Amino acid sequence: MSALLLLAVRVLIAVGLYAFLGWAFWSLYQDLLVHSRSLSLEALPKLLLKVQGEALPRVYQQVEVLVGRDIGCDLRLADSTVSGYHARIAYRQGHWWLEDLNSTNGTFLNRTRLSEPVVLAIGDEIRCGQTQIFIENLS
Amino acid sequence: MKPEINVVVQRERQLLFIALGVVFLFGLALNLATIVRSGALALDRAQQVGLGFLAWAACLGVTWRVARVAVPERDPYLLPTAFLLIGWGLMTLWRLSPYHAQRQTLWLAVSSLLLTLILKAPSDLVYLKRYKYLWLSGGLLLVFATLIFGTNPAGSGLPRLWLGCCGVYLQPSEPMKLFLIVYLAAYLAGSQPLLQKAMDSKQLIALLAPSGVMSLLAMGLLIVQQDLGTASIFFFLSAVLFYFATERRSILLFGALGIILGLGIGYALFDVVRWRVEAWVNPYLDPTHRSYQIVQSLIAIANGGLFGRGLGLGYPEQVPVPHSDFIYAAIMEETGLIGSIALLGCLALLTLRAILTAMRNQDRFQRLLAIGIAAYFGGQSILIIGGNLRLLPLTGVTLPFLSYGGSSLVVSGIMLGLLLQISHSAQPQPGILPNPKPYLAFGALLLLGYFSVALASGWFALVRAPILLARTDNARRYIYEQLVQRGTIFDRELRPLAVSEREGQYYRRRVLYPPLSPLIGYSHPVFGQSGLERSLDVWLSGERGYRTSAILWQRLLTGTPPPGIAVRLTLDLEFQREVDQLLSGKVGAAVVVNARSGDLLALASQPAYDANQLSANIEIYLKDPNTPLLNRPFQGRYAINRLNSLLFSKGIAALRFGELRALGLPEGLVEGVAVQDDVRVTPLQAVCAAAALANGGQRVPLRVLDAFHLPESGWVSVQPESTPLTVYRAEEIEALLKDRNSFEGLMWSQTERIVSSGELSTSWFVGGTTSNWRGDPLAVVLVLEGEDEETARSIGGALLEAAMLKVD
Repeated sequence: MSALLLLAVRVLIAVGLYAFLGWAFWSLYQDLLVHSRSLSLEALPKLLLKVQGEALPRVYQQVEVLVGRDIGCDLRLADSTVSGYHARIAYRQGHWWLEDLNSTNGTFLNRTRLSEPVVLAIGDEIRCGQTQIFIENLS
Repeated sequence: MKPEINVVVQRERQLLFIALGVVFLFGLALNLATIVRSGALALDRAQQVGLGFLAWAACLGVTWRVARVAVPERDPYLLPTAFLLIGWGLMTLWRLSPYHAQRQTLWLAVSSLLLTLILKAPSDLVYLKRYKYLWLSGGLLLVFATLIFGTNPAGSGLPRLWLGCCGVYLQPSEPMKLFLIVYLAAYLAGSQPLLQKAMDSKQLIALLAPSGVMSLLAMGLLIVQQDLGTASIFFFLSAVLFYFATERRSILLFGALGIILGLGIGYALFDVVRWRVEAWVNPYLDPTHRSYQIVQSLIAIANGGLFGRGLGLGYPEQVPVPHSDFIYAAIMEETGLIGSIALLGCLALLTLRAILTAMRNQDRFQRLLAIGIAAYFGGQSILIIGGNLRLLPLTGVTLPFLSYGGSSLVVSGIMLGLLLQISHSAQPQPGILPNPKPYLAFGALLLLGYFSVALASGWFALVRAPILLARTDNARRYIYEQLVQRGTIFDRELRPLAVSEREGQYYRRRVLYPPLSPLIGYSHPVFGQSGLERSLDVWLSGERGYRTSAILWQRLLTGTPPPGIAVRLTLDLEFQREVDQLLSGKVGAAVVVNARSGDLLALASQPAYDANQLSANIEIYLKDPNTPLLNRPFQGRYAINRLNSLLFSKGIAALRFGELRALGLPEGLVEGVAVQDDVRVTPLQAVCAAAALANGGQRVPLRVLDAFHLPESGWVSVQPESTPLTVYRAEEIEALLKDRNSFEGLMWSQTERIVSSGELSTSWFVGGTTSNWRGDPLAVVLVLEGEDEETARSIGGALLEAAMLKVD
């Protein structure tokens, strides 16, 4: 009798242990879902950039916009004072962040040279090399 | 994105309640197990376990309360997982050694106190960063002090790795792990920007040198003390932190090379390393001495199987130091593969959350600190579990949170506190992580480690289990014999020959007619098994004879096999007594067989040892020139010379041992004696030929095992596998027995004395009934050592007459 009872308790322990793990991993999975939803493209706002000398603003809807002279950049600038990979505009934590990628001539925001990533706002003026970029909209 | 604070609290609360319930059930199971084992609840033990549970729950409650106020944005998985592991470890300790469990409970209180202090301390952890050299040198000083003042709480003569007195001991190498992590994290965080910009390796080495020297110093101290497990943990921690700080893969390569080099140097310099490595490469070479621990650990794991023997129903105390180095083996034996995979899942969860904590934090120092703590939890767990499983060489490090060890528990508690702090000060949104590669690679490496130990656990618990459990150094077999009644051995009239009788709590095996000991044999924890006890062991021990499901159910319920199956032999105890009487004082063997049925009626071996007195008299038996341990009818090889023409005149000469086994005798009885020449035979071979002569030329299989008593069908007769075979024609028998008849032509016999140089003479008597005899045909073989032909003739004649009276 006590042996049967013990077996039942042992089964309960096993169930409990796996319930613990299962619950932990299930809630982690829930986190992951929330996380991925918040990061999915639907939630991503459009970024409108107007490059100096261009008539129409460029529209981006992606997490990261690389700015530079290289062919791999999203925003290519034909300017010899711009580095290959010059700067990065990335969407994180509900904001667009501007970050200098160790460029030769530096990245400036409203005439201040960047030393660390900063949050962008409408109307900001970015300068990479001799090229100016205006933030038209980033809602 | 981090979930809302109240969601975090809610989730943590749910997990804590599950952990609380599971640990409570562990305690309940422990008490139920004492009822299953001994039939009654041990009240004082129940009280202790109850108080132990309450103490654990109180520590958990206090820690949780403090954490809710001090670090409201902590990671919700760390605290429940760590406390579940601590509770599991405590309950395992209560089961293994209440003394150690009591001490561990006190250490848990100290650990929780320090944990709460860490939680209440400033969350920027500046006090760690700023005084990094103070912490490091303090730790080094403590480790250095063990070189002079070191002791070992377990006794003198052992490695002196502890400091302390009056029953309180500290192992400085444990806090040293924390100090090393703190120092390296602080130093490397300070120089990380430089490290990542360093162009060539020269620059890199110059930057890493100071911290490298410190790590080497700490390792050197431990190597001098031959605490190589901890030294390898130091090496691992340093390599991981260097890798994260520099983000260069070449560090990993150097780390791997360093481990191989270290192992090689250690192998050449230290006996300890050599033994450990050899025990790792092939533990089965020296299973009683140097690899005793690892072989016993594997047997314990094999005994656990898939479901485990049940908490409190296994025998983990058969493995040395089960509460510390081998706690994983102890847990696996009692909770099985199911429990161990849950355990590994918890450890993996803890490690991964620690890595995630590091990723989420913005501060370089805190990031590296969290990574170091993750490396400590993960690396040390995998190292010791791998050691238990023979996946890695065995090292004497603790399993974090689970093993007994005050210093280890306190340090783990502090590290848990630091992790909670670091997770609390992480940004509400994941920060910038320029290079996530090291984190992913490190997480994958640790997961691979956990996966490997899980696979190895399954391999030993399921695939290798039958081979490991059948080993003679598996003491559980002899423990079961004391707990479960072993099958009785009866003679043909159901008179008991060997029984297991209850003496107090345990069963004891006794041979009721000791002169039959050479045949019946013994099942002994030191001397192993022999005779019928060995060859019929699977039946006598209840491993066979039941439905498989019945055996599995019984093992699942109580952890032991069901009661043994009784067996009936063909021997006749009364007649056996007469035969032994006739042989008393002589040295030799006698075999009497019913030549028609093949039943062996008497099997005498003189002088015989007494299986009941084996432990007391083994030295005497081993030194006795008359070799009482020898089972002469089966194992005694005697020259036959002239008898050859009578017994082996024709194809019967091919009657060798391989064939004897096929004659229906239990396996194992005739093993181990390789006889190839035909001029030396055992009495059993001789009687087989003589029986063919007595049975009109037909050789029948010999039988010693008559029937099994199966639980469902009662007595079931055992049928030999081979069939009768005609080996003599009638006229051949007539020619062979012509001059050998006596006693009114009812019986025939032949005696011969053989003297070979350098040996005692032996006298044979081979006889049987003739076709004139009306009863069952009989055959008798008698061999006497150092006696003359006349003695053999008179005793042999008397034997045959007694046998004829018996069957008439």
